[in-house]
Order: sequence, then C-alpha cells, then structure tokens
Amino acid sequence: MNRRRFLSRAGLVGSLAVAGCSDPTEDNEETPTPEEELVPEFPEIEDPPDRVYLPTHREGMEAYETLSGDEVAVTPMLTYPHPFWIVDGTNVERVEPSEDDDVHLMMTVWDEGTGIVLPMDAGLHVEVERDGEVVAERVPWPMLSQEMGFHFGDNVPLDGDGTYEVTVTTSRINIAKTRGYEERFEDGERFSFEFEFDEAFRHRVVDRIEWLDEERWGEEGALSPITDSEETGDVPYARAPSTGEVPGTHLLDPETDEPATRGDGVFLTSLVGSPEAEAFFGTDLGDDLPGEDEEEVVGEVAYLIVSPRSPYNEVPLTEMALSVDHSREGDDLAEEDLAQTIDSEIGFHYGLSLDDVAVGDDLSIAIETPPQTARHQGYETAFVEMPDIDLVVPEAWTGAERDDGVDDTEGTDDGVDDEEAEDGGNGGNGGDEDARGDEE
Amino acid sequence: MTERAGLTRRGYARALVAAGGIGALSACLDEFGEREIPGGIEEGEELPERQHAWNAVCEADEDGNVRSPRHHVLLSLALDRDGEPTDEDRALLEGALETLERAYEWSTDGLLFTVGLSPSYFERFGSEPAGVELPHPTALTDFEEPDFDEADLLLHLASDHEQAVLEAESALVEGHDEVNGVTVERGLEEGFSLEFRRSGFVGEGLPAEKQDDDVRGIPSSDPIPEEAPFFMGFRSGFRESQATEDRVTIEGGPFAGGTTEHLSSMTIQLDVWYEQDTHAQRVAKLFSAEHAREDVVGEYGESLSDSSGLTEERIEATAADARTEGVVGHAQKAARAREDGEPLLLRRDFNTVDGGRPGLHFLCLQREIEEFVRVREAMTGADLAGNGVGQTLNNGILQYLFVNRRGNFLLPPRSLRALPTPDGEW
Repeated sequence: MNRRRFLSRAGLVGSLAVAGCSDPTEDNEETPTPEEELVPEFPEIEDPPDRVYLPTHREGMEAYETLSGDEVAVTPMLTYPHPFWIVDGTNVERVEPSEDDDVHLMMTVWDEGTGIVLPMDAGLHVEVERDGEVVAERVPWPMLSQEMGFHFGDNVPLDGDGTYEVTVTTSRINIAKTRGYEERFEDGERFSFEFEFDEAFRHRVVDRIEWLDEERWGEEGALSPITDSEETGDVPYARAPSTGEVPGTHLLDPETDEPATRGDGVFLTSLVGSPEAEAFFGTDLGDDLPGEDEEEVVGEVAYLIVSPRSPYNEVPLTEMALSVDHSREGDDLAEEDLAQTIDSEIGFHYGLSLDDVAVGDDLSIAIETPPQTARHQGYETAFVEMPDIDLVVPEAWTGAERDDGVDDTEGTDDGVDDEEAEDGGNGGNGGDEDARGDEE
Repeated sequence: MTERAGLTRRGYARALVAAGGIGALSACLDEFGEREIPGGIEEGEELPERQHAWNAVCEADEDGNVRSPRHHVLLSLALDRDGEPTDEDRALLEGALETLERAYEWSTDGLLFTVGLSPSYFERFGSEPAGVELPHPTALTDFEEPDFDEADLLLHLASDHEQAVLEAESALVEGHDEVNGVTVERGLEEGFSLEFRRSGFVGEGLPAEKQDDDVRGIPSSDPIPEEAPFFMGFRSGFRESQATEDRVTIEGGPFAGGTTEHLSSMTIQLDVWYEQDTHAQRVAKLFSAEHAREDVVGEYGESLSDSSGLTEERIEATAADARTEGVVGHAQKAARAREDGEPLLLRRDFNTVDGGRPGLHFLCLQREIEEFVRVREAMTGADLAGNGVGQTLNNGILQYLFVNRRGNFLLPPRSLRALPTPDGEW
C-alpha cells in the first residue's frame, strides 16, 4: 500500500491562507509537486500545561444524518486523520495517523428520547466497506474531545476515492441503569450510512479548520462544543448534569467550598436520601451494611452520586474506577467500589448505595484509575493524576424524609442530633431541595 | 494462479497453501522441486490411538515448548447422504485416511491430521455421543455474532512442508491420484462435499513475510518482528500455559482416548495494534501491566522461557490490576481458569489471511467443550468490565479480535474416527 495523501498541497495552503495562519507545512524540506497530496500536519504545542488547554485549532468535520434505531441513535462524523492520545492506567501515548489512514471516523451514540449521550461500555463495532469488500474493521476508541464531547472515534484506512458504506453495530449496555433505564438498552442494534470520499470532501473538511491565534495555544480553556457550530447542525453533545440537576445534598471540597477538582476534573458529588434514593437502587444495592445490630444504625440510607466532568464543557469523565472509604470518627464503616451507571435524568455517573450515612461522616473517594478514554488535543494532559477526595457529610444531610421520627436520633451521642435539628430548622425539605435552592 | 512475483520462497510457499488446490500443488512442485518427504506406516504398523498425539513428534525448543507444524489446512466436509452414514461411507473415509497414513510419516516432516465430528453429525442419529458433552457452538460474548461451523466433519492437516498439506488436500478432495508415491484409490468427493477450506501458518518468519503480500489490514510500515511466530508479534503456547495431551483426553465411555476441539476463526485489527498501541501497551494487553513495567518479555517474547511469566500472585491480582493499572493482560485473564494451576486448553492455533485479511484460527483441544467456555469466559473478563477496564477497552486484546465463526467437534480415538455412531460403534 502506498502512502495516500489527504489533500493537494495547494488546497491545504489555500485553506490556511484563508484562516490567516502560517502554513505549518512550510518547513517541510520536500518540495512536492502541486499534484501531491498531504494529510494536514498540525503543529505541536511544546510542553502543554497539565490541565485542559486550548489546542491550536478547531477541527473541520462533516456530520452525517443521525441514524435512529429502536433504542439508541448514532450520529456519525468524519474528518481527516489526526493525532489523538490513548491511555492505559496513567500512561498517555500520542497516536499519530499512520501512512495508511485516510479519515478520522467519529460516532456519538445517544438516546433521542432524553438527549442523553450513552457510554456504550462494550464499545461499537464498525465495518467500512467499498463495493461489498471490507476495507477496515474497528472497535473505535471511546474518546473525549472538547468539540465533540464523549464519542467513539478512530483513524481508518480506505481504498481510494469512492463511496463507502459504514456499518455500526452497538451492543447491550452492561453498566448499572437507573430510574427508567433499568429495562433499556438490552440489545445491540445495527446501523449503516454511506459517505463519499473524494477531493471535494477533503477540501470541505480542511477548509473548515479554524486556527486559533498562536498566542492562545495552550491557554487555559476549552473550545466550545460543536453543537454551537452552524456548519454541522444538530449534533448531540455529552454534557454532565449541572449542579441544579444533580439531586441530593451536595458534598463540597472543605478547602474550596466548591465541588472537588482533581487533575482538572470536577467531581460533583451528592448524597440522595430516601425516598428518592430508592429509585436508584434498582440495579445496584451496595452491601454497606451497618452490622448485625440494627440499633447501631445512626444514619440514613443514601445513594452516593459522583459525577466527574471536564471543566468548561462539562463532558462526563467515563472509564474510571472509583471507590469510597466511608468512616465515622475514625472507624471504618465500609470500603466500596462505585458502579458506572447510566441514569435517565442525570446520565452517566458513578453511584453506590450506602445504608448508614450520618452528618459528619467522612467519605474519601479514591480515583483508582483515571479516565481510560482516548483524548483529543487539549485533554491529553488533564484527568491523569487524580488524588483522593476527602469529603465530610454536611449538616444539610438529613437523609430520609421522616414521617414519624422513629429512632433517627436514638443512640446517637456524637452530636448528630444537634446538626439534624439545625437542618430541620431550614424547613425540613431534605438535602435535595436545599441543593436545588442554592443553585443560581 | 498465485503469482510468485516479489515473494520470498517462504512467502510464496505460504501463499500457495493459502490458495490451495491442485494448481497450487503443481506450482509448489514446479517452483521448489519435489521435496523428499518421509513415508508413512507399513502394513501391520499402528499409529497412536489418540488422533491428537502430536507433541511427541513435534520439535520442542530448548525450553521444552512444543513448536507447531508451520502449514495448516482445514477442510469442512458434509456427508452427501441424508440420515445415518453407511458402511460404504465409512469405508470411503477410512480408506482415504489410511492412504495418508501410509503416504506420510506421522510427524511435522510428514503429515499430522485429525478428523473432527460436529454436533450436527450426531443429529443424523438423533442422539448425542455417549459420555461426551458436545454442544452446538454459540456466541460467547455480547459483542460477537459468529456464523457456526455445522458441517459433519472438520479435517485438520498440518505439516512443516507446504507440499505435504497441499498434496494431501488434493488427494482427499480434488481427485489427485497419488500422495508421496502412494496411489490414491478413491477421493472423498465420491461421498462428501467440501463446504469450505481454510488455511494458515504459524512459526518464526511466516507472519512477518505476510507483510510483503499487500494484505489489507497489515500495516504498510512492516511492524511484525521477523522472529515472531504469530501476527500479534509475540511467542505464545508456552509449555507452562498449555494443557498436556493427557489433560485434554476423554477418559471414559466409548470415545475414551479422544478429545474435543473448538475452532474459532477471527480477524485481527493489526493496524491499530501496531500503529496505535506502543510495544509496552501491547505487552500489558497480552501479558500484564507488570510485564510491561518490568520489561520481562523482550521484543517478541524471547525473554520468556517456558512460561508466560505469570506468577500466581499476578493471576490472582487480575481484578485488582484492572482497577489500579487500568489494563489487564489476555494471558493473565485466561490463566484464572486454570485448575490447581493446570491449564485446561491445548492450543494449536495458527494465523491466516483467509478472506484477504489477517486473522487467527484459534483451534484448541480440551477434555470438554465446557472447559473451553470457562476459559473463554475468563478471557472475556466481563467481571472486570466497569472496574478500571471496559468490556473491550484495555481488557486484554478483545478490542483487536473479531470472531467470525465458531465450531465444536469431537475428535474420536483413531479407531472410531470414520463416522462412528453415538455409541461409539463402527
């Protein structure tokens, strides 16, 4: 196979000239003929900061019509091959497009009913065919991108200009599903779409590249989501729920009084009390049992929500392993793994049911594995080093709605009574309502 | 016909086996001349009762790892007759197989072969084989939709010499009238139809040479190490990770001395494996994160001797590794299914370019198919998914393999190989 080049040099230079930017290929020692084609080569930012940062450019891309299935919808997008980073553990490795690659194929899978982007934990299976012959077969990487949010993508080789048919197969969602999603996404589905790979396509996507001023490269910040773009129209974008959308009593970083931030990821964390908590217990009931003796229970049943997301665009951070160490006055009550969960209202989060949560309890959340998702430029240095998050159950926590006050203060000689009483004075609507009330 | 142009000798030989047929055989003889291949047994001599008794006649390396024959052909055959086979069918098959035994030494220098019988074959009798669980093949993961090999017979031919497998195949199904100087009385085409043929290769140099052939899905950058016996670039089949022939042999009932065979055929996403993953990531995904960190594998596995270097501790730590390392190794996961430290499967897998793409015929033997299913479950690692690794992401090598076909077979003892009844009568 010969190296196929993406676009005529003339075309690329033209697009860069329009963008008012220097030609990153001008130092190339080769002097290709005008007919020779080039994959766009993007300048690297030297020593990018260890946080979310502005890349050199917005990718140009083409979105295709959303494919609607019985359970899920797939929105495909296509652009030129470009670098990305893959992750194992805390190793982040840059992947350059290979000489065989012709396009970067992306797909976002979502629930058209709720608009929620789905993590598809089993991945997608993709076959690219030309004239009935398979030219590429892939399980594309789950990826994070500032413009695309959470999606699946990969660089893919083709076989020259022509019409290609892509078949995308989804599998059942195996992670925990809550609040109306329990019976959903049990079966895989198959979708297909066609695209035309030709000079016109290559020009369109390269012409859409928007270069940032060089002094902004590496600056703190993130490109705005593609949904804001007029050229591509309505593309779903994975967005973690806002503070107001996450129910329950929110737990804040004691040092900042804000949701905890680790490795530039923002960890919105809350405890949902009864009866709302029960709605989450359908598929994952933890075994944080308080012990043989029921009378030792001093706290309340809770569902712990941890909703990590990128700063700025609030893209949910998937493919992590989180656990929580629950203790009270230095005594360990439980150490539990959180379950990756998809909820019909708040979407992807990490959840766990706890049986005995009282005001003043310590909840230490360990990020055992940072997001294993592949990354587009601007996200590859963030979300890697993520130390534990130590949180304290705040006074606003009342846990259950108590209709009769049975034994909620019995046997507590640790000051919990007073705190609960204070909370009761706030109107007694439960932490959930309080948190919402606080939302601006 | 397969063109030699631009191919090395080994590359051309392998291409001829891939092409198959009398044309390939004659091209093979034209190109390389007739190789002297040792002859088989004389009247009165006998071969081992176990069809799968190959290890004793395969070479072993200095570490005691058995080296598989280099060239392989799989023939899937359907009995033309409806209903139960007759004595005539039996005589036809047995006669053809005995011809091969007389023609070729039972060795990698000559020819090794097995005959497997599918669950569909036994349905001709309306009952299952006695003393053996032989289920129909099924999909074994959520993310595969394989076709199933349900033809009556699966013949597996193997030799270090392409000439032997091609000639044996031609004699069995193409009317070729002589094998290694022995006259072929009758070919199987008189009572059987060939449903498909598949072919493959394994051994140092063969995968790397495939890079010259412009096979779609093999990266243009020629990343496969010359020394690697498999496409994925590493040695495998270490003595310590292989079941013994005794361990896979059926112990009781009429088919005692036989074994069961599972064949899964898959394509391999080699371009991503080589062009995107780093060597360290490949090692972590094939062996374990610790193997990668401590660099104990070498470029293609040369630093390992007779085992994949997995300690009990590492095997037991698989779930913990998922959560803390973010990646688990294929070998590490599979080793969890060992019983008292003993592997359950005897792998005799080999690579292929059937269908014009890089792939693997994962052929393995075990006492019961259920044992294969158990190992496969451990390999799938669904229990690990969501705990630091995904269903496929960083979960061994699942992201790189696409299972297209599965088949289950009974390899009866040699004396019962030719169309036995479910009670082991002949």
